Amino acid sequence: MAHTTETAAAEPTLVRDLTLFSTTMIGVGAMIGAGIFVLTGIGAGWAGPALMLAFILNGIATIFTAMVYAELGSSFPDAGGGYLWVKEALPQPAGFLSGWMSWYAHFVACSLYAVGFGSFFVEFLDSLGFAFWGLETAVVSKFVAVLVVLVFTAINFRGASETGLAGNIVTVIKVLVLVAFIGFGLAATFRNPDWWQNFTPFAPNGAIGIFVAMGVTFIGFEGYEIIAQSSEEIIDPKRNIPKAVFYSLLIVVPIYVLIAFVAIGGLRGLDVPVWQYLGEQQELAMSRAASRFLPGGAFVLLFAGLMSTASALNATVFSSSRVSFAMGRDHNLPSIFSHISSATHTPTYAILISSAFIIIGALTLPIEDIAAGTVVMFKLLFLLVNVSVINLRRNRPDLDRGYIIPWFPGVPIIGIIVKPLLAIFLYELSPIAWYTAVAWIVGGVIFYYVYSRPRELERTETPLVQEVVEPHTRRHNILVSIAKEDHIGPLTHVAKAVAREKQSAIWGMHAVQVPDIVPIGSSREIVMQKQALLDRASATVNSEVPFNWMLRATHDVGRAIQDSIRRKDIDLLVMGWPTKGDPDSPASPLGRTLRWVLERLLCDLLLVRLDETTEALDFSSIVVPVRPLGSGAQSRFAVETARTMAADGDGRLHFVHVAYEGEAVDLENLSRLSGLLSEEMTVIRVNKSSLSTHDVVDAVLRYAHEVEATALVVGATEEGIVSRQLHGSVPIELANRFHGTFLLSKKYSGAVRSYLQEFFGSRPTEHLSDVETMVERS
Amino acid sequence: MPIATTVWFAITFVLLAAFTGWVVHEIRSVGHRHLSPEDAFVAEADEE
Repeated sequence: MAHTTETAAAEPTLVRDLTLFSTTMIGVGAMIGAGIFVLTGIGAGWAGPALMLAFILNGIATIFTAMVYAELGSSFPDAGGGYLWVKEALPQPAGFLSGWMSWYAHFVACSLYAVGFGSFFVEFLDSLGFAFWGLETAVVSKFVAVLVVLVFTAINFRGASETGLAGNIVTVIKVLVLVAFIGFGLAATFRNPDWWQNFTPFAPNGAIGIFVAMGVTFIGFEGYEIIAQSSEEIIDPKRNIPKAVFYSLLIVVPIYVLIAFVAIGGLRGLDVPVWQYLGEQQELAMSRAASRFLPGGAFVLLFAGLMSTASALNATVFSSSRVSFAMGRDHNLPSIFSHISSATHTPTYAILISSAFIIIGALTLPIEDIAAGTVVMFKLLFLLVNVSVINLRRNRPDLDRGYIIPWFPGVPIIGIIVKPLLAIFLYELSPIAWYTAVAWIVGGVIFYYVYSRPRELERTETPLVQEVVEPHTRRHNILVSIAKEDHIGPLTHVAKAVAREKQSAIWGMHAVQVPDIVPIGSSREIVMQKQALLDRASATVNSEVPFNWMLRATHDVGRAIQDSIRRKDIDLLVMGWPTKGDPDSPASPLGRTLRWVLERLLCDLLLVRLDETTEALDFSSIVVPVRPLGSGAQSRFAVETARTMAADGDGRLHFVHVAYEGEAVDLENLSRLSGLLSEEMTVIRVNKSSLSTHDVVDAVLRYAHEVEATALVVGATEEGIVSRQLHGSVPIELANRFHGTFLLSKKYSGAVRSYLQEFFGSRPTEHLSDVETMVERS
Repeated sequence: MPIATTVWFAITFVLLAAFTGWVVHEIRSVGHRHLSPEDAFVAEADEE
């Protein structure tokens, strides 16, 4: 009997108060947050003076993924970040892995900032003459790193975060310090008449050195992930997110190049080449360089470095716990991650566990390995994001995009190639970073299949609000998807004809599409208003065949249909084709729903063309074009369907096969495969003059006119995209040009699809949890 | 300055100029491209 489920409470939404300037500052702050202060020395040690080149090449390589983030950020203004986009675009376990990798990348980045903070803090006190009671500075530095993580864990625990204004001020101060560094550095450089000697040789470690430096400093170029994560709070996100992504790059990349120039050009009087000296100083290279040409330089740089690493730490403690919290909420991680403290309203366990990982990373690994580890994982995450943007273009052409990537899919494909390539070079710097990254990913895959996958499957069981026990148990079930009241008559006409012949039960379904931002549970009142539609369908079917119905709320009608097919063990889906058009065209009014259903068909399908003029279907004279031998199953199903419709309405049948002039037709075999007698078949011939389908369609329509056909029943084709581009599609063109009843049949051809097809193909992933049955009744 | 170092500097600053020009171009294109109705992989510039 009836049972109820919990309805989701409306989630609080954030106020959009971040301007373009603030958003740009978030990106700039994230990029120069710590990377440039901490990693310039390590980069110089690898690339030499070519660090400048490494920075600009990194900037160019970053544009490709920045464009992807700009498009996706402007397409999903309410929810941003790699994890959410990959989850939306790709099948599992890609979605899980993107969250798993993002979590790792963020907490390891946090370890990097903690270690950087510790070093700066110790150097800062050291410059003031503090002795540390004789302890090793390395030990004190690690101790400070742990301490600062605990401090920011406590701050995040309480829910305090950097406000927009304070964040802007911190970022502006950091930029001013770097501008001062550049100004004094330029003066110091050009005071030396032989300044160019510091740049010779330009690339002492060759291309490998440049690539490793690109990899290790990459973290200073990925502010767009943080911008995307702030998308809920950005004013006019469709324009401001892409602009902020690009403005932030436009600001930081020239600054980086100039910093590399003055850090190397501004020093002299060293025993070793400048680049080598900077490499040896590691995370303290910037302050050591500044101490030589900027008044109070070491103090100023250390102060800016402390501010940068502290704000970056705060942001990454927040984002790593936010990612693990989201995964917990999605049941990809244990539910403890999604626990929200009733006192502080923060995800306490997600923060605690993330902080534990941050401390482990900070304590156990040297700074190069930490930097390489986070970069490797970010690059692999961005690889998935690049694949996602391709899938979303294919599957969600309807998204309102504020920014659109040009030269598509070239841009994301370059990102897909370049990101792992640069990550591979990091093996030179830190094999252990790769080992731990691979171990983390393999561990993630195992965790997914052992823990997350079984729970995901449980979640696809859509909760019911109300259910009335079904009295009819039939072996053959038909689902009729009713979008509008006008569609009830024609769709139930077709469904009843099949039901009478096959002794089927009919399920009527109406799915109400709820906007993404509205929780499904809170849409009940709106959805229930549609109940009359299904009552009317029930009255139309009358008691001739068993009729059950269900009213469903969903963020995506296609998914609701698929879920209903699974739940009710449906054998045949009958749905309307609301107007003329090509279902594969992004501009088609059929849109996503029909594409979804066609591409992921789980049962047989009868598609009834319905336009403004359709009031009733007329099957008194039916023409069935019989397809070539390769489409035997589809032809046979079209023939069966036509026979059913003719028997139901006492109609005449005309089977026609179109062949080219001179083409041999094995009529016997063709008829047998189509379930016909050869004498039932008419063969008409057309000139083989072009690759177009027009000749074939013209011939069928002429024939239909001759026999005064009132209906066309056409089997779907199995043509691939390339073939359709070259030849067009006969069923689509027939549907567009035939005036009368039009029925497209598609036989279920099995669910065997390779993972790669699903990954790169045009089949969106399933999120059946966003479908909820509001009422179900027999 | 040795020729090789001069060439490296020239390459670096040409790339910097190219980067800057490209990013400025993309900023200007925000809100001014749309998808082709026939092919979602094709971006078309809005008509002025």
